[in-house]
Amino acid sequence: MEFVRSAGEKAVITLKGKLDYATAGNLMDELRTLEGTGIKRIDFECADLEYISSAGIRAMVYSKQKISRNAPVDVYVHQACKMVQDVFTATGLKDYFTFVE
Amino acid sequence: MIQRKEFYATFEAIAEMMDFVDGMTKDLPEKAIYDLRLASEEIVVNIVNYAYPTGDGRLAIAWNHDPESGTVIAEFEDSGVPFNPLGYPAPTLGVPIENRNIGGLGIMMVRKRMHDVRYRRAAGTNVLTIEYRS
Repeated sequence: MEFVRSAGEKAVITLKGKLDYATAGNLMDELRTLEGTGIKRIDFECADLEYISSAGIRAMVYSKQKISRNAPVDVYVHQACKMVQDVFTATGLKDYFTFVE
Repeated sequence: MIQRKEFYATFEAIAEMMDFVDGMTKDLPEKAIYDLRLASEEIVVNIVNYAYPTGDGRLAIAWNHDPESGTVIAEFEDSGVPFNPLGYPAPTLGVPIENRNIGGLGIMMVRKRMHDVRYRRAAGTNVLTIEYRS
């Protein structure tokens, strides 16, 4: 799990390995720092993300629910493998994020 | 052959539980490994979070893989408060996310990915059984 963040109106967060019960909290902490910063777009780089569970999905949903409370934020998910995308589909949340190959 | 292991039902012990699950699934196809890890994580996290509100408890996993049929039957047992996760209402997927309660997402994923999920309460124990055919 690794987070790389760039400042300004756009944040890029690289997710590696497993986003699960153990690591979702770290992502949540990271995302909390973006609240109220005027961020307009978040890009999750997921090429090396092997696994996501509902705890991981919840953390990503948080980025929409909380950060976009005052101003809308667009969330992009890049290069997620099929098994990871399937988890989003199963939760009915796939259309909520913009998936980019 | 059934392999059974007992754990403390604590957050710290979840890694050990997941190692046990990964060990049980290591020779299965990639999709089966993913699905069984996902279901197991959702179940054990739920037990750790809710089964023992007043103190310490145990959680046992009994894993039965029949290589002939490719069927995995795993049982998750706890002696905490009686709780049937299958009685939890499924989240409403059509509702906009802002208005949605995302609790219940985990057990919904267990039900979607496993071929069968059963609950029983027996002798003071919650037993949640998942069945998966790869």
